[in-house]
Amino acid sequence: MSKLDIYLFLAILVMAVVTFFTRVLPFFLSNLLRNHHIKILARYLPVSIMLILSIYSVNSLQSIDANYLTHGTIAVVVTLILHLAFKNVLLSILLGTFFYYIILNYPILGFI
Amino acid sequence: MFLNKYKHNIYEAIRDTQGAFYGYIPLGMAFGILFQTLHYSWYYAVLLSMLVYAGSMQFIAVPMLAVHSSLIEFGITTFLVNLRHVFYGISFLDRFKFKLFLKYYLVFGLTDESYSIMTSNKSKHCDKTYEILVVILCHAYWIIGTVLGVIFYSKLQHINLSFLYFSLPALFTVLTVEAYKKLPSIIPIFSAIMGLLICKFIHLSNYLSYSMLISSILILLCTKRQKGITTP
Repeated sequence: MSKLDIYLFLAILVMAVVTFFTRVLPFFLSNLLRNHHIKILARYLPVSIMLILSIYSVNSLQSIDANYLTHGTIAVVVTLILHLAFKNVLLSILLGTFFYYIILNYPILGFI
Repeated sequence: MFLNKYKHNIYEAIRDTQGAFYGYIPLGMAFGILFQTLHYSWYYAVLLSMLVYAGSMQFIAVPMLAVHSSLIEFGITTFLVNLRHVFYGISFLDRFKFKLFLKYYLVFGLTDESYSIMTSNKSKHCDKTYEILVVILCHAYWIIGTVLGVIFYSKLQHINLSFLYFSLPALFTVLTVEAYKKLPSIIPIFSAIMGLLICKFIHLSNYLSYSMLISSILILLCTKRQKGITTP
């Protein structure tokens, strides 16, 4: 096993254990669910987390795209419009990614 | 024998998990393909789908693994991304009367999809076999999707698939919209942006988990006066 293998294995183990922990927690600590703060977080956090993940993942496009901020922002806006229009999660992701492919490989508009 | 006895259950479970099938196979494939762009061994993708089995976390793990994020960051991020799972278990608290291993497997297999299938069928059945089949099928679709994605990638290796990285921001912006529809409030948006800005301001290089932590604290501070919130 190389160092990388050990790292990957441990990272997957951490993710698996923590994910399972969040699922099994209420079975041991049902009191926790009456906790005001936990309720608030479970309610409000998803929007926050998804927004942070969106911005983080646009940022992580920089490893493949020199113009990632412009391309990423435009493609995100297009994905948003598609999603508001068709309200279909998979379709929005598919078409959004296809649009990104187009602007990444065919800079037809010159400025993007 | 087994098939005859449970024919009805199997039929119902397959019928009810159709929606999950059409969602999990393509999404699992997307994950498999995306993970392979990291050029790690194929079995790590499958291992993630088998052991972690949490869509959003698996997807965000790809860029995190690419920059070799620390295990602590993986821990914090996984916890906060999956915190919503905490509430899945409630309605099942007294329903899961299984032997130990099966019980934990059912708890492990509670996803958005399997949860909504089981709760929507609450009146009709409280059937053990039905429930375990729903969980097994959903998990299987997800793993099969991942394997298909890995195979798909190996066939297309000569093509530059790096643009598929955009499936991440596409997925998460769509999920942001969906989460916002459920809770149309400015507080989580404000907290997220502040969390990111604070991390940028103090030059935290690994800002993903810390911005989530800061935004959790901000949410608690912003909602301090609200009392008597009902569970989502």
